Amino acid sequence: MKPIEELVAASRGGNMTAFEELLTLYQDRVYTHCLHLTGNSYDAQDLAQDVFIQAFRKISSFRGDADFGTWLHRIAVNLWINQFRRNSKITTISYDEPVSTGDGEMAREFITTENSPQDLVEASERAYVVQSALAKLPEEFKIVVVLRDLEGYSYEEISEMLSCSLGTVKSRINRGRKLLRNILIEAGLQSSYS
Amino acid sequence: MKMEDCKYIQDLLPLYVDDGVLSVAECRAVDEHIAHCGECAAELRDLQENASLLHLAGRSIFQAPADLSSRVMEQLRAEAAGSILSEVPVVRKLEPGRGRKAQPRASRWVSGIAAVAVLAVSVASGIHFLSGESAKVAQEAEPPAIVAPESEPAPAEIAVPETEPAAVSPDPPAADEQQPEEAIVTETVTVASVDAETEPETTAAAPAEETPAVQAEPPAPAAETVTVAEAAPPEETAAPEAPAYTEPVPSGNVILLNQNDQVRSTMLRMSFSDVEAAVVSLQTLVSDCGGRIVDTTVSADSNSEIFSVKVPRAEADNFIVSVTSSGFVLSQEQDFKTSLYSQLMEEYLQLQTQLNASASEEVAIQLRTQLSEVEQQMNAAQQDAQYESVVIWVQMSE
Repeated sequence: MKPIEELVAASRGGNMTAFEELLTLYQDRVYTHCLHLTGNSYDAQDLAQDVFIQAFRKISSFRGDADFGTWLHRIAVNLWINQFRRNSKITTISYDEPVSTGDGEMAREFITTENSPQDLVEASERAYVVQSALAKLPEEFKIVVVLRDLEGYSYEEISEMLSCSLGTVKSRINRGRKLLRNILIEAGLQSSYS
Repeated sequence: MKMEDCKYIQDLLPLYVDDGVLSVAECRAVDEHIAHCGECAAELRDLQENASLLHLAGRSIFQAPADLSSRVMEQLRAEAAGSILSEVPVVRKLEPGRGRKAQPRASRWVSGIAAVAVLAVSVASGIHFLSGESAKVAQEAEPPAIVAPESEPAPAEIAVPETEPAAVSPDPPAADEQQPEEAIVTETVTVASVDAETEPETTAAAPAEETPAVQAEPPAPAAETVTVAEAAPPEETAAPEAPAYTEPVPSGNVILLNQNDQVRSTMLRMSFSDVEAAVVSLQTLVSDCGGRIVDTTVSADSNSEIFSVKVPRAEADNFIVSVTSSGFVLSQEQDFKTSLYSQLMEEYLQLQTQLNASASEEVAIQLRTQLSEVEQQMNAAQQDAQYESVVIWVQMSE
């Protein structure tokens, strides 16, 4: 398999086969990221498709000094922000694929580092809990919490992705985490101090 | 624990979870506080647990749907084959403009000429480009006279048209300085993509609609390009309510400077006792020079009516002299559509380079389609550059 740089360079020249290879390499990560943003698999599929279409069209603007996966994530965030700004009806959408134990479908969905079925179940339950809670957050807070806590981007990286100041990022993470805690307390998933 | 202390600390806790975000002093304050406050300590534990929970959840990678890859490639290949128009990334379409809703023409003007008053009041205000959407308004307006289009440009040969110097006022000395095109303000531009449904404008069709009387560039009525009238409007985005001009109308001569301290326009202010008569007079002056009023709005203090006017470039000087001597308040925009043309030219050259380097026929087809679209946009931009935007304030009361 060719290194990423070669595939990107070839894609820049319009080589669709090379781009398809990139797509194959990154589609799971991108889809997962879209799932985090949208909260459901239907929107995540559409968003992921849009991300790759946009990526191919804009690949000449990708600077090789950045990580390609991060660049794709950035496209996803921007597309998602544009979508929910245009469509103010996008609000809370529950994670609509409940976990079922002993179900082959669950195994197919995850590519995780969990080794045992028990680990897999826990991972699924965790994902469900997290997505349900995130779905209740206002979008601007959800996005920063997703980028920071789920995907591990730094404050500076988030500031760049969202084209906002570091102060804004801190403020939103602050608020987002507080809201998330309240949501989890209400859901009985976190103990409140008494 | 004092409530105020807890409140202060609780504001810090969510960021305390991450290393290096709070200052040393803030971290110390948190450490000291939670040593004695069970409630805040519990809250911090919750926040840390949540962060771990999310971090673990984030490690799970979901498998993309099996057909994602094929759907993406199918769409890309279809675009390359030209069966659907690819999204045109270049045309900048701005936030819609002003205009009182009472005036249907103005309210439907979604993009159009730039209004200098916008620059005067706020750098953040939108600037309008003439785009395909203007066709809607153009069709609603009085029947446009047809101008002779420029001959079809070969894009590689076209130089960026120079901004014609315009006499912006008889008075302010700085008005004679015409800033170079590079000084054109672009930071206020809001970029958006035109939807794929935009039909490309065809200047080639223009001659077919010309009236025989207008083959040469006329001195008199020729205010509108066919391309404006013909362009199929792109999908309109929902237009937010345009803000009224927020700056008070200045009481004397004002020289407006852009960020580089170069003259953008000048504004004169006079008043009329009879606004109706003033408006009629203005309309006469506008139509005499082959221009048209494309937008009207009201100043924030409700004392002035503001007209955005488009006049043929060749007539701009005469028009300005006419309105000034008639006592109108005038501010004039330096046309900056040429900066759009430059951007389009750059895009064109990039696409051409890619086409030359392309070894794949399907990619070449896609690139040729994009080149054709950009070429049409360049033609439209060049046509637009033939016109100058003038904004006129008519004060409604003395």
